[in-house]
Amino acid sequence: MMDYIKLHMDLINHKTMWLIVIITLLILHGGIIYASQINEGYAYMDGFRHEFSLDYFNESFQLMEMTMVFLTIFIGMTLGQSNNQGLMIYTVYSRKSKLYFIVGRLLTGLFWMTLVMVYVLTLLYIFTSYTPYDLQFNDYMQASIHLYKECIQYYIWTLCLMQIFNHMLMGLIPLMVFWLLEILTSTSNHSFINHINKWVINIQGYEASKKNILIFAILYFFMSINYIIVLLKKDC
Amino acid sequence: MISKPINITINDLSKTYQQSKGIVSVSKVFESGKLHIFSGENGSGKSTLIKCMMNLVHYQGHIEKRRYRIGYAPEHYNMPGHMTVNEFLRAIGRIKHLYQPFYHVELKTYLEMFDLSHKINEPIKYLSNGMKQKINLIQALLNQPKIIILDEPLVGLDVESQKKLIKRVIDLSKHCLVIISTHYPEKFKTKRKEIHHFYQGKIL
Repeated sequence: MMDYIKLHMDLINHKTMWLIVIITLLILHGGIIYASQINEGYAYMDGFRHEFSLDYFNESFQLMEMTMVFLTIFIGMTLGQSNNQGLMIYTVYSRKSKLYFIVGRLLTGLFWMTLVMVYVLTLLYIFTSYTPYDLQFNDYMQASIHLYKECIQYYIWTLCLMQIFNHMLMGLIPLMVFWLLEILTSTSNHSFINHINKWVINIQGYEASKKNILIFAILYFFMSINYIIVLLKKDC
Repeated sequence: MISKPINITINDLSKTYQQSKGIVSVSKVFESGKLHIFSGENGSGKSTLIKCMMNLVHYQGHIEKRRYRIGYAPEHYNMPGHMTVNEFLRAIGRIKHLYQPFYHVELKTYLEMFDLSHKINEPIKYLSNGMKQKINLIQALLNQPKIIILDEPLVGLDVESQKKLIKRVIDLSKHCLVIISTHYPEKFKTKRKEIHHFYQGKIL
């Protein structure tokens, strides 16, 4: 299995991938620094620490959410593209090796996602320690876990859509859903939006969706199993 | 010491595609010691049978083959362009559980044979079609397979490389099970070759 994960790692280890990851993370660095109101000076930040703290926390997490969802979808698109599917011909000799190939792909994406997530969360944690704001560790952890679940959701959606339609552009659908939800949740309080938030994990609709977390876990587990089965049954 | 023959037994094998019949009820035994050549016109089922043997497609019927090391070079190669020749072959070698020092020896042999030593650190996307075909063949032969299946191996190769490959394949067929699909069976000059002619999904 490790050899298959290494193979997928090699596949996504190319210039474009690194360029996009680095640019996105650089933008995130700038965004988090800007959200801290550092341009107003430390004394000002300290003076209004209670007023700014919550805003800083919310804005930083929103930025992290955008970055993580974008990168997750991009990783899903890179791993799920038909060129990588073609590599099965060289590495599959039996049903077992085909299973390893597919599971290896799923795990590679998850591994990358986790790695970027850990980096991003550590970044926020370290940067916050240089500001006068108090980061509530429990809230921070809860939001992080929720964000991780959201990323898994979009990752699985991307892989499944890429598989069904076999086109790179299909990865844009989860991205559009994400943007739409972000805009609608922040601008409208319609009951329909609350209803959608119950069924699509997103940070802003956290309160609405957290009750269904077990259902989400089951749903995405079965979607992953389904993805594996469909690929196993598909001809190379 | 006479080694045990390696064989693939195919029993009542059929493969149907959505619009056409790939293979129709084929039964055959392929044994080592001979060079098995699949020939026939386009769409006659050569590549389909090979894909069935490699478990790359779903089929009806039965294929019996023991778990030997296997090397397969597909007709349509699809290698990741951003990887260098070495990175790609090493990744394939790892999956084939090739011991690292052994990998270097084998790699050197084949790179010299195909005159590709100077391209080892070059990204695959910058190689010509013929060179890509050579990489495609090297990855199949790298792990000293006992079963070698090459689909249209002569396509894209220059005359010199074709000669070298043919010689190598004939040598290997003495103790391995070698199956080759080609439109030029006459190029493989050996008494031990067995030509299987395909026509409309059947072996005549």
